[in-house]
Amino acid sequence: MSLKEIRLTVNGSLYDLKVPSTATLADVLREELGMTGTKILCNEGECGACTVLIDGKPVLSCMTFAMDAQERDILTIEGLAERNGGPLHPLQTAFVEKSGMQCGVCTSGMILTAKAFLDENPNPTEDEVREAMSGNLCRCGNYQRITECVLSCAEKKGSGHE
Amino acid sequence: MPSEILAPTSLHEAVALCARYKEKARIMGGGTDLVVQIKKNAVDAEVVISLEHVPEIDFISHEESGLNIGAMTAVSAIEKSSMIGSRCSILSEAAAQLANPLIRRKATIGGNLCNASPAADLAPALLALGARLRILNGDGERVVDIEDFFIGPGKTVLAPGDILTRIIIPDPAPHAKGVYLKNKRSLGADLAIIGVAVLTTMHEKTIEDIRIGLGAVAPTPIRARETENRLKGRVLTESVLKEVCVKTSGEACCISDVRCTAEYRDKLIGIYVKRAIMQSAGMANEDPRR
Repeated sequence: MSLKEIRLTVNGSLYDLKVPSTATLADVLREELGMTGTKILCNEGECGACTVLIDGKPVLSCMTFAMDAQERDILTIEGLAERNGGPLHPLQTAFVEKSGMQCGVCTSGMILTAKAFLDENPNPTEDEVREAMSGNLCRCGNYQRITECVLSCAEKKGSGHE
Repeated sequence: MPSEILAPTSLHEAVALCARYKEKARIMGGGTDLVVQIKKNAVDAEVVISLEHVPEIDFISHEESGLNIGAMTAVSAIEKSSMIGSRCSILSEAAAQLANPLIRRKATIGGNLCNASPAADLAPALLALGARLRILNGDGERVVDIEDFFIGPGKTVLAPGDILTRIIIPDPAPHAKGVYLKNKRSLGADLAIIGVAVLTTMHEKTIEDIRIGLGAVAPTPIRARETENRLKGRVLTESVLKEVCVKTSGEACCISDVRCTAEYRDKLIGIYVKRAIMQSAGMANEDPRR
């Protein structure tokens, strides 16, 4: 198995790595960079727990080869809060305050998918939230609370927020 | 087990690599099927040739031949494309029902076709639309009708060294209306138990033209041509539909699998084809996703 030299930009920092070319981004984030906030559950792209953002869009990192994520901006859950102990992202605060987590294993993926969605659709309906997040599964069945967390971070304009 | 992922950055380079490795390579689109197989150690190839960075085959355009969609176009792009939505919304509907939003961002139309699952979500709609597939290799190009493309479960006419580059959809009749219905076990992401795509052109109450693509009910996605011929030119009524659609399962060849028994699939065919025709002809008001 040949090793490939790759350079990844994760949470604003550059990392030079030597990994097998078949290494997935999820494996590299966790094993090479020690960023275990990204979880691997089904490892088949069905559950969304491994979701990270690449150039602002949600991506299944367990289904993405690390070498294909070069020259892109990768955001993991570790990079979401302000650096150096700064404030949490509003979604993270919402999940903490409104019981958005039970076992927590889906949470990283949920928050990142939600962030990407709200960045594009700041004022969604509940149905739109549920549809957009339907690729992220929660084995604790916490969907109602998770949806409420996401909606609570939507812009509070008049229409569209049902 | 592939030892390397090769990532050509041009179609020319990709063709050369595919010609060099031939059957020793598997070609990757979005990888949503292939990467799963790699993880299960079920891929017998030396290398994977990923088309992820080949820009020439990621596009949606309209040309004289009709809609042209590059094989590496993401399913989510097809779902959201206003060009496709305004010209053949049946394909938008099919794309919207493939798996879930995260998978759709990665999956490609080329990958869905070349993986050749009998249940491939985009196939029934493309069959109904009479799509043509352009295939490139080191010796040149050829075009294959989609109806001739699938030859068995997971098998297509693609030979080692071939790359599917684009899907060409001749413009449907201006007032043709299409619907894609998918029965599955849950409201969430799942493979089709049965997928039905119907494209209907009505002249008042008469069926001027009708095209029916079926998925997950035969070794490959199929056109239900006998049903089409029984309906063309007839006045569309519920009783005509009932009479004709009950025979559609005769064109299929259902099997039992983890998702469904053959007997239940057989029963679903007539119901879903009838439902799809009624919706496309504007006779019913159901949300096609339910």
